[in-house]
Amino acid sequence: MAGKKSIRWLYDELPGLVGKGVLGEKQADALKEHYGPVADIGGRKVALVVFSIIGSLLIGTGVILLLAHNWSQLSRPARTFLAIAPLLGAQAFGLSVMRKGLGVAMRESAATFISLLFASAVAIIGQTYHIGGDLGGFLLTCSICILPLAFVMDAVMPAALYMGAITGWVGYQRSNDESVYFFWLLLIPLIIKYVQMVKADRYAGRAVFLSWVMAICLPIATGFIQEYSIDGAWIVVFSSIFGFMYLASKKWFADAETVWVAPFKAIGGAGIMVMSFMLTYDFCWDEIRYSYSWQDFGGVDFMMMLLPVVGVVLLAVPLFVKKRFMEAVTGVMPLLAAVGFLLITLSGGVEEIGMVIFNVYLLVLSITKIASGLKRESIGSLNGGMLMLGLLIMLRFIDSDMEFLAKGITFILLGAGFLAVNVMMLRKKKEVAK
Amino acid sequence: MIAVSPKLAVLGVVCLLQLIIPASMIGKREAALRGGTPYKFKTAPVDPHDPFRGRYVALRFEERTAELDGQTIEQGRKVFVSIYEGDEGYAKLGKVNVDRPDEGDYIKVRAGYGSGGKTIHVELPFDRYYMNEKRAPEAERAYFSTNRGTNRNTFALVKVMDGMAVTEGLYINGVHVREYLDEKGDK
Repeated sequence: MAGKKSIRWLYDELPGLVGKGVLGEKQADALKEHYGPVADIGGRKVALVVFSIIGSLLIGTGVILLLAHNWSQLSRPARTFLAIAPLLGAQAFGLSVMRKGLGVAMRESAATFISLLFASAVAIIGQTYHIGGDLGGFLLTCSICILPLAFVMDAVMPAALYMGAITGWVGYQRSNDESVYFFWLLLIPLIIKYVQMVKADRYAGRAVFLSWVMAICLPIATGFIQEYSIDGAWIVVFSSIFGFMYLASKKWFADAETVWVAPFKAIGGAGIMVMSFMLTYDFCWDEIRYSYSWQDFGGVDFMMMLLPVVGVVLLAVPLFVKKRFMEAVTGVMPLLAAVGFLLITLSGGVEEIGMVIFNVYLLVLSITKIASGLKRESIGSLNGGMLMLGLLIMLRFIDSDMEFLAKGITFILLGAGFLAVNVMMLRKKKEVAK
Repeated sequence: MIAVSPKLAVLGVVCLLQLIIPASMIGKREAALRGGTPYKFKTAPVDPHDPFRGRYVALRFEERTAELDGQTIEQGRKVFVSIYEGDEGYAKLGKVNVDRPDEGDYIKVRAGYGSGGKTIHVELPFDRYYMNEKRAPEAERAYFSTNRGTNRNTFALVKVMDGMAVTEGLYINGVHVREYLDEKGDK
């Protein structure tokens, strides 16, 4: 699917092409008909939706805060009325918006109002009747009751609030040592909604917004869910979630024009980089203290930890087949984390294995990135690779016992290398342009 | 007649379901407050706040352990604890059971850790008393100034009916906290 930016560029070019006789007017019209209008997806419409949502959020949270003040001088019936009346008003507004078939901005506004005022109704009843402090129950009740709005009103805000609420619920459950696995079941309807939106237009503002919310909440929720019965399991679990997000973005959001419309790539890629550099230090691998036997790997906990790695490998293989090495090497990082984990446990805690794996991995990845940058003449990719390589060398030099003189010279050489390669690349580009 | 689209009808049903939840929360508690048996639970409050429901006085009760009725109950399970009025007029916890008792008053609670297989710690469901954001800290100070020593008369009045327990008031030195603070303010 062609991006809006490309289509706009094509439409700008068309009059010139017709004028020069490269294209006939009929062909130009046929192209316009094929790609459809782009002007109506303008910034004004997006701004209207954004401001409607922000306005509703502010008013809704304002009502919650007003009620949180606790108007204890009011009688119980009056406070009950205060709890229900705003919700009824919001519901009436929502029904009217749907009956009149009003646009996205009004639908999002109404859905946000209903969601927040439902939460405030439950909260004020809790306050009036002094109901115990079960925040988990409160979040679960609210999330389940607002999610249908996302489907019925075709609104993204209830879905986003739902994602935030179930992430909060997982956090609450974990902090109270209660079961967290219900989260996966709660996630299913949200994924259905998300797939619906992505199928309609994955780069539309609302779909991108939900992508960002999911890309931020999923690693947080996974952090809460991950089983602590295996020391150091987080190494494999977090690597897998970041790797999966990155590779999924490469598969299903491959034609994203900017990083802003590909949040899974942005957060997955950043997560992979941060994790990889962290795993070059022994303090991470240090946590794997116990020596497990081969029999332990058949256990449920180990299977749960390693299963996502299989998914990551399945997504990475087609990239290797298509010779998209840079992306494949980046995405396959969780496999190395799992290999490092297994080798360290089986060796009885030789942490250096993991450190060596990730130093070599970052070296290979940065060289692959530099090679890819040179091949595609992409200054961004080239500098990215050089930055990684430079950072890796710098970190190892800082760790080493070398004298300041040697460290200083290394840093100067690295900087000079950066500048030289950039100058060479720019000259080459200029020559090609000529 | 107004034509109703399927989406509108579904939204109507969602709205109704959203109303049923607060309504049932209110209904059960109103019934307990109007027809429930009153019990005084001795307390030990502090003053935190909830991001959604505002400031409250957190209630910690002296009565927190109950007898096991020869059963093994795992931590976190919802159980029923029978309650009765003790000699001093304060509520006492009886036996814990996984089944609803046939007679007498009881509360649905969450089982905590056990002790020697004979008693079990229980988490009472009415652990908060919500107050106005200005008055909650005052209530806390008043509580601590009166709650020292052995001659305390500070309790939560809880109405109990069919397992549902609703806090009606918090009493400091036998006076409702609101009146107590009003009197203190007048002096």
